[in-house]
Amino acid sequence: MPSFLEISPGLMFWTLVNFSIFLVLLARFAWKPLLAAVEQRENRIAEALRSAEQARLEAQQLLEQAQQQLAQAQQEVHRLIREGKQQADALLRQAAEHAEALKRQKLEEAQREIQRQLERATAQLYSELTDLIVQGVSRVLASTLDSATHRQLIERFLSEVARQN
Amino acid sequence: MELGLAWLAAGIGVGISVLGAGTGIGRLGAAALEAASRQPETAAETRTLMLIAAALIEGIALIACIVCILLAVKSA
Amino acid sequence: MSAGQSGSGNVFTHLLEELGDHHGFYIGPHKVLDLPVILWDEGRLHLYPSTKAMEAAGLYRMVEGKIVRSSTGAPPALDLSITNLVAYQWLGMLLLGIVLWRSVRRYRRNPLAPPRGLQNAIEAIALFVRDSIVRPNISNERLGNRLLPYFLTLFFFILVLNLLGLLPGGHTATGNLAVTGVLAAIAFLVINGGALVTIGPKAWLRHLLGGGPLWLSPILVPIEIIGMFAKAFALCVRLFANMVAGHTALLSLVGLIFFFGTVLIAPISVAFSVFVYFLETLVAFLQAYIFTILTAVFLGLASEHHEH
Repeated sequence: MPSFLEISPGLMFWTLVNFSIFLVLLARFAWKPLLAAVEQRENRIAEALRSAEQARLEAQQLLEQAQQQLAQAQQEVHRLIREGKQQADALLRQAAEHAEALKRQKLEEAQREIQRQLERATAQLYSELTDLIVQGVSRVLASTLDSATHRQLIERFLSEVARQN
Repeated sequence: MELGLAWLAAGIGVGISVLGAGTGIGRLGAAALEAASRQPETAAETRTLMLIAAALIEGIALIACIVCILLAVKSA
Repeated sequence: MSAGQSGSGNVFTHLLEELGDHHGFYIGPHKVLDLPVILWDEGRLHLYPSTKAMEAAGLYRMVEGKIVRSSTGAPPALDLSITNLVAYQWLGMLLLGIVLWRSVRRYRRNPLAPPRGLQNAIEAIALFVRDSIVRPNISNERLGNRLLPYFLTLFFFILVLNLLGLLPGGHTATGNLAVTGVLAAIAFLVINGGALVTIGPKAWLRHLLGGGPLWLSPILVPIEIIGMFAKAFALCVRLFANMVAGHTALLSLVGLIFFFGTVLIAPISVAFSVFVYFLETLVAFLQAYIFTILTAVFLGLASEHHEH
């Protein structure tokens, strides 16, 4: 039998010893830290991925919120503009009405003033006219007539005339 | 004469076992390639299974080869 | 056939002797270091620093590379010498230990730093063993994690011994039946021990039925028991034969030069040798992988609950 086919008990014994020692040493000093480190790194990567996903979700939520807020703000602005327009229109209309009212009032006042002035002027005119007529008539009639009695007559007559006008 | 027969037996034996193992591994390789090209997504798994099956075939062939070597070195 | 026949055997047989175990540390065919001889014989231990010192002491002597008692010519009861292949195992363990120690030092300093250099290679292989060999084949995660150091050590042990054998002048410890036999025996214990611990003795015994009905047990139980040992035996022989086959092919190719007694055959021999050498490099990795994955597969099969 060639030597490489021989099974030597000594070599078996040493292989068993070597492998057992190697296994114990490597398991304790090599594989434990290596696997622990790899696991730690894997966990960290998984954690990072998870947190990135969470951050992405949060960002999306924030974006949606912001978009919602923007839309709300736009609505608000539209509403404000509409309201402002309405208010402005109302104000304008009010102002126009006010101006119209004022104008009419002024016009009425002016008319009333004119009327009053006219009445006063008419009254004055009548009074002066009365005086003039009384003077003239008195001059004409001299002292034949009691001025007071005549004056009363004339005034009555004049007021009748005025009423007829 | 006896030694010559042993060598002859070793030669023939190794030839036949190699023939069997070659056929087996050839068929295995063909099937694995076909499977891998039909379903490329499971190619890695197919490769592992192929290697395991190849190793099993090879194990048988190697045991046969050892028997043949034992015959061939009978003179020693 | 003048050059082919030298002495008692032929060139081939002569070269095959180189593949065996020797006393002393050899690089190629040259002894470079004496290694201690440890013998257990007749109820006491004999220690010698070298074979020369042993022969000088007179109790034992070397006959054709083997130690025999000088008086009777019989071998000692137990030869526990540090032989060539034991030394190669130590060398491999030392080399791997240095590499691992250097990479693990970096993990201790900062476990979160990205791996660099050799550490990167070690980590890649270790993760390959974890993610492609152990986890897919052993469905019980707790069992897989507990045995992960064993699988890692097994893979690296076989790999480094295979690769040492490929160095010029290196001897392959995994190309010896004693070494692969012990590795396979440990694998056998791991497979059945792991299965017993995981699924309990009852389920383990039920596995021996092989899923058949009870009345078939006289046939199936012996087959399953034989299969149990055959798996381990195949592991042992596969690794051994793969390692030896490559070396035998190389030696045969080189031997052709002497067999034909002409230098003209040398270019062919060298060309084929280089090809076989590359093939052997592949096989060195492949066999470490195959041994480990088959152990994992067998353990996975044995430690699963089957509803028969």
